[in-house]
Amino acid sequence: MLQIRLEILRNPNLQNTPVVLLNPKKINRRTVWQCSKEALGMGVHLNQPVSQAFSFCQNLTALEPDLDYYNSMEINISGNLSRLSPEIESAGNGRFFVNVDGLQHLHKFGSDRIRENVHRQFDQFPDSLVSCIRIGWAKGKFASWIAATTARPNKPVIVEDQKLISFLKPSPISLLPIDKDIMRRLQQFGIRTLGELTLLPTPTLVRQFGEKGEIARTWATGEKIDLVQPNQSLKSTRHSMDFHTPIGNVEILCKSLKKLLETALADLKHQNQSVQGIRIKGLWTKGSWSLNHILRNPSISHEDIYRTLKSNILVSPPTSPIEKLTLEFFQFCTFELQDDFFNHEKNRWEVPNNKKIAKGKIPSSLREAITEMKLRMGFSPLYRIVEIDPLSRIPERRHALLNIEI
Amino acid sequence: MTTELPLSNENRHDDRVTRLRILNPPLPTRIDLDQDGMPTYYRSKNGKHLRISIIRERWRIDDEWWREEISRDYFTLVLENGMIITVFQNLLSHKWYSH
Repeated sequence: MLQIRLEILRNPNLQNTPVVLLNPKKINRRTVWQCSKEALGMGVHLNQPVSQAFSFCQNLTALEPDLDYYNSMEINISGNLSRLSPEIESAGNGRFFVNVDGLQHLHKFGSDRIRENVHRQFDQFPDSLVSCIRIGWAKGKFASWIAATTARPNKPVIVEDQKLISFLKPSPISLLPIDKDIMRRLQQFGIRTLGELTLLPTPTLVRQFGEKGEIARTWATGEKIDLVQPNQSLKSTRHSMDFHTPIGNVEILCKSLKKLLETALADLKHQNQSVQGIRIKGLWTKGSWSLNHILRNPSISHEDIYRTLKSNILVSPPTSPIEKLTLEFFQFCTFELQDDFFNHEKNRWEVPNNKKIAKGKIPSSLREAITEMKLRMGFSPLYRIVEIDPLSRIPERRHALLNIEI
Repeated sequence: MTTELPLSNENRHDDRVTRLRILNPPLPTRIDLDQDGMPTYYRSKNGKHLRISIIRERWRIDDEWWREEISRDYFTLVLENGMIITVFQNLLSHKWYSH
């Protein structure tokens, strides 16, 4: 329930009160997506219609989820954990897997040491959030997740490799990452724990459930080890602007963005890079707004980018006056666009002394290189790009490579 | 796959004869689908499993039924790392290819 905790973190008045988050996917018939333990205690449960939740608990606070805020906090947490290891996988709902293989000298076994190490990474987070972190340490994601679910906030559960099988045995089979149908049938057979599942002979499992049965068994015995799949870390640059008076006017917002874009692009130009992924964020006291845009081709053109972003803002403007505007670039490109290959004016062959060569003529240096390659290898692997059928709906038929003949 | 393509994409020896090679040929790829048959994950050449953030465009090609039939379901996808790729499913062999 990370999202509920984050809401309470942002609004401490909600501490120890019944709070629910509304399901962002169901707009027409609102249901409970997440709820605080106080709400749970009053009979509210997940996926319950909100009207019913209010009938159980009249002082309930129902909040619209702020997905951008949760995402930015997850990125923040992930960034902090990356000080422990570069391999971090964010599995959603506040679950993070950290691969610490080979880092035993840094993070020695021992519950206190691990707890200290992890908590140290969150020194700028409030204690209320840090104190509820639960840590599991085991081989593979499945086992470490089970370890974390059985851990208590200040007591990490550490499973050494040789004790892995005995640790997994009493765990319920409902934790297995398998089909609901297989799970239901296993429960019908009276199998409740992973230990009971391992007692079934493999041929029986295969006969009943096919390959999936065999896989379920390997999860239960700890033979299947699922490795951390690190999320691609996007290097990003951020530029932001604070407003003393919150800005609600879209025109003024666009002008501020234009100014911010100038600074950001100047920095980028300096590094000889162009940008493709752009994110605009607006923050106010109790909310946020953001827009993501991926340019079709990387660009450094202030006018083009501004025009695109402005039209996006006009389509979905912020819902409240903004106190802080942030512009983030998160995908870059240093090479020239492929389209430029066909811009003949721009890409005419040039010789070192800047004399332009006429279209279709091959520079003498290239001519020599082709002759040399033909002599040595019997052929020349140098081609020109030619247009075949540029408007073809089949991409590989639009252009082709033609041998350069001399 | 070569049967689908009009241009020669054989080995180098043949290139010397034909002189013309395909640019951007489709390469076999792996795509995970959801229950509705829409792409959800893309496995890149280096084995990375990337989530598909947006399906930007989808179009279908049914052509050349009079000779070697072409029947493809194309998608332009935006991956979680921001990369834009074009993939298609050959509806005759049900295999996926990327450009």
